[in-house]
Amino acid sequence: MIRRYLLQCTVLAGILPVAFGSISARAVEPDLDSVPDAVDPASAARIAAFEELIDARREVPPLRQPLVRADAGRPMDAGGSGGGGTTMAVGWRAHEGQLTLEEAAHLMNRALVGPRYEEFEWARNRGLQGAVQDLLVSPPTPVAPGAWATEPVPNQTGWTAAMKDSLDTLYRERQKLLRMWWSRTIAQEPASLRETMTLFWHDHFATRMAAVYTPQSMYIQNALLRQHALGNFKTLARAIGTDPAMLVMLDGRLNRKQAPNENFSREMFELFTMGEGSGYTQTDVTEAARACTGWQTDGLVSYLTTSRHDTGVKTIRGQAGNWGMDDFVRILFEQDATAEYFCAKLYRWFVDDEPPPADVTALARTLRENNYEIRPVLLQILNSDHFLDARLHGSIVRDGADLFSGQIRRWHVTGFDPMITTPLTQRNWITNQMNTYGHLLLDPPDVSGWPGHRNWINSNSLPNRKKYSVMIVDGKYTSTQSLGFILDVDAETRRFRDPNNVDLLVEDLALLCFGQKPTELVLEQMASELLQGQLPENWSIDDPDAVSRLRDLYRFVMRLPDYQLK
Amino acid sequence: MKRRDFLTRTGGLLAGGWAGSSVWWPLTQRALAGQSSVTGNKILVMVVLQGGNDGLNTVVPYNDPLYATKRPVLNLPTAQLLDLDMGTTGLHPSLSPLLPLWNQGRVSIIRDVGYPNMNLSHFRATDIMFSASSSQDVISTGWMARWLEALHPGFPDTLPSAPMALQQGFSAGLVLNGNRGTTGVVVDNPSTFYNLVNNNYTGSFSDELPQTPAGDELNFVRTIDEQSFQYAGVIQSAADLGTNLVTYPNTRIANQLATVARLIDGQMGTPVYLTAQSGYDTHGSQLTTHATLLGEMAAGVAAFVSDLDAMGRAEDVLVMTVSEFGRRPSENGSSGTDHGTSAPWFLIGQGIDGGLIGAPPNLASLDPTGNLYIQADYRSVYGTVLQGWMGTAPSVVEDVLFGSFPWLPFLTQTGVPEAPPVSVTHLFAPTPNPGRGQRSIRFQLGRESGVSLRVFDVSGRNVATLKEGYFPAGSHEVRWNPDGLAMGTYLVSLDAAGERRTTKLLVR
Repeated sequence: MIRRYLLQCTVLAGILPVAFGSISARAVEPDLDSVPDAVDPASAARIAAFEELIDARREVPPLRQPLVRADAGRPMDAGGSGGGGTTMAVGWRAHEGQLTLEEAAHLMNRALVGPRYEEFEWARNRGLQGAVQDLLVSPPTPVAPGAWATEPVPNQTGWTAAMKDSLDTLYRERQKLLRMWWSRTIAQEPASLRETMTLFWHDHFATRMAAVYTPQSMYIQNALLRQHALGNFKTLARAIGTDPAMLVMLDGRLNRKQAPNENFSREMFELFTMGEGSGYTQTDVTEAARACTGWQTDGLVSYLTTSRHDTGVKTIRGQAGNWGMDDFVRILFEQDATAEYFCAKLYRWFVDDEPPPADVTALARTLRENNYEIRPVLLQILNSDHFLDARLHGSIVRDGADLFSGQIRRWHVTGFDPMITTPLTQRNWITNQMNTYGHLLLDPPDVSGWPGHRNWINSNSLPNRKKYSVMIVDGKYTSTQSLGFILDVDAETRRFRDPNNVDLLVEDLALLCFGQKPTELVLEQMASELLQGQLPENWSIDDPDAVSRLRDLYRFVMRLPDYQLK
Repeated sequence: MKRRDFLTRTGGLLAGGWAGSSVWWPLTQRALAGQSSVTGNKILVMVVLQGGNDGLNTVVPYNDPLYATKRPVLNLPTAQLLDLDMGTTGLHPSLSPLLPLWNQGRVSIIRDVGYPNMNLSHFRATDIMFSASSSQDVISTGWMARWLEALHPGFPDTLPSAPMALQQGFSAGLVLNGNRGTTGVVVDNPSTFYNLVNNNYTGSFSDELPQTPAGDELNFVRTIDEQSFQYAGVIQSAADLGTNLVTYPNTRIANQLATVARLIDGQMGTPVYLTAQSGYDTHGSQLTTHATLLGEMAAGVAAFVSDLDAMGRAEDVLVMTVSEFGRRPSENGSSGTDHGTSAPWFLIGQGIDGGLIGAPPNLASLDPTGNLYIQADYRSVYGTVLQGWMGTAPSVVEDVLFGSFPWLPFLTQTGVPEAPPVSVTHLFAPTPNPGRGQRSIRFQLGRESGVSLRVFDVSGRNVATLKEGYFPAGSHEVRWNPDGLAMGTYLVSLDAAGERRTTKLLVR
């Protein structure tokens, strides 16, 4: 596969003279016979260490193989002339053969928040099936942000105003700490789909800390989402129904038989399971609200108060009975619309913003046939030719977390801990990003989560995305304030295939930052940013001013429109 | 990809705007001839009340006994209400800042605005309201965007000289999604916007992108990038020129409106501004939440209107409140109300013929879900604004709204733009920048004036004089190749109409 990849480079080198002028003089002269079928020793050692890590925690439960349609044609072949082409069903034929480095970069950019260059090499060497299987392993549970995270919520009866104020101050600080803790957790996550899926679930069962208030409840919900991140959709949906934070967020705790409140039941139909316009009625909503009556919470756990629960007969989607929360969830998951709605969302998260309906239906079938287990569907998506289609490389706009936490992870940054309060620089750096990017973790705009995709980018968020990203290159928050960490451009560049070859250097940096190879013009401008008028053959990473040149290049890359995509 | 070319096209910037003249009615050629703006000087400011505003407690039918019956906990005591007509209707007491405007006849309240078969989902209902569609149609473009695209047939190949619409804060949404792109900019702080954008701009790219999902996305990001770059100077100039003449309360909505007023005072030439206030989804604790929200909204709007009065621009600006739906007449038992249907909308401004439009909500005749029937279609409000206020031709309004809707009598007269707006002296950043070879340097004059366009190095030495002479109002372009200069940063300086504008030029 390396051979194949180098062949592509040769083709590239053939084009380059026009665009690069003298740069191409130093383009690779491939001697195919002498190319080893392994990576360089340092890289191999990193991969070996990484694989050991994976092996140590490999305990994938046996799963039914996902259904793959035998008759599925080659993805998007037929749609080649139509521009876009994703509207027609393409099927989920499993990918056979090896991965190119670019395909590996695409996989890892979609699967992880802030993947690293050596993880691309790892995935390429491991192969698609093996890599995806490993990515579906849950790493150890992260340590809670503090003992306070599960501390009982005090009963404030008889408290003075001063006591209440001091608790309020404490809780507001803990809300911020929790948000910082999650941003750090994402940045420290091993190579696994878990944190990506935890973000997905948070977007799906969107809950606002501004509404919930109690930081413990938000932590408990976050831990619940993480616990089930790669688990079972139905199990998680049932748990969310009586999750303390959700009981506050959508007024479930106020919902009693004497005065039903339909806020939760409506969103359960509309946003969490079946989807709007899928056939449920206003009567279903009010009847289901009755089934959910009586649940209350102390902030840590929830309980059913029988005197508030409506024990009468309710009719939900045509089924009549004395239903409670369990039954409501069971009925929702008997509706075909639930898997359809959910799989379309999963497709938009991992593949592209425009899911072809027939392909969603195929995923929905897999989900139902596996009793709403998530892993078989993720396997079906990520193992496919369709997922790897080059036309989709770079078709998703990065969310905020991909930038504020992803950059920390991608660049092996040490010294990152936004939970530290003296100084507040790192916390401010993260919080300003969350605010200006519109991705304030634990506070989605509303219960439908973040609209995502193109909504991430506007004339205000885009220049802010560049501004805060670039700070990491110089390790400075302002001209006088240090961030407390810095991107080591020298070390990062030395991970690449050949840091002394300008063509390969910019290509590897592009793969790392964009998850794909950009246009020739972008590559050319990257090279010119590095060389600043010098000849490519004079470039050496060991030059005294190489670091300063590399910083210019990295800053330039982070300001490119391509940097916003994955 | 034609879109890529707009930055380098000679003199095309304003011509594209004029090409929109066919959709204007009944503008005269004179009004169109001299200026860059295609919208006359009428401005619409939308205040979006997100979450579904409880109409019944906003404009209260206090003499209907059913009101208190359906709202045993949430009913507002008659004595606290701000009586509007001595007999039937009172405003929520938190709206008192609007009362002086009401008394001056500058507030119109349209009752029970909605559409047939209203959708009770926030998200779907918001989409319907922003796309101006019927309950059963799913439309992926915004009504405002379709209108703006009709005015600017050249968009996005040719961008108008000022942003077509400006949205405050992070809330880009469907309303500005057009068939051809995003028809507005989102700006948080106009005073820092220029530096923010310019310090992080990598230049425009002329390469052809593939017709693939990935190519489309990159094209989208590049276009936003270029639009921001294009407008950064215009927005900052307007923010610098404009001044707020009154003090606003320190709330989110008031801060947004203060920024809008400043840009209007700075003669930016943008016809549409969007502001938003969230939190109206009052399923619980409604009394206090709703009172706070309405109070902040009313105080913000009142400050905005007095600011416009002080600026002498009150006649040009119309404020319209919009909410995705109202709330159910019967309260829900947890001190709140669930999703409902129609609700009153407010239109505020000097051009408004004040008063109540429509009858009090009929609480005795509700739909099967216990909700109100509508009295006015929301598209009638849009249509009246577009045609009567903005002066758009009826056929275009019909295209934008997918049909013809009856007029509502809330305007004092049909708004015919009287005089074109004064545009400002502006120097655009060179393109490409940084880059190699020939640069395009464009500037814009609000009136004819002597012009001196020069280039200085960082030590202040005049290294080149690009233009000296007398130029008419409008947009001008100079092409120049700075490759002979040493590598580094230079300042391009424009002296015109008694003002100086500068921008950075990077030479590699």
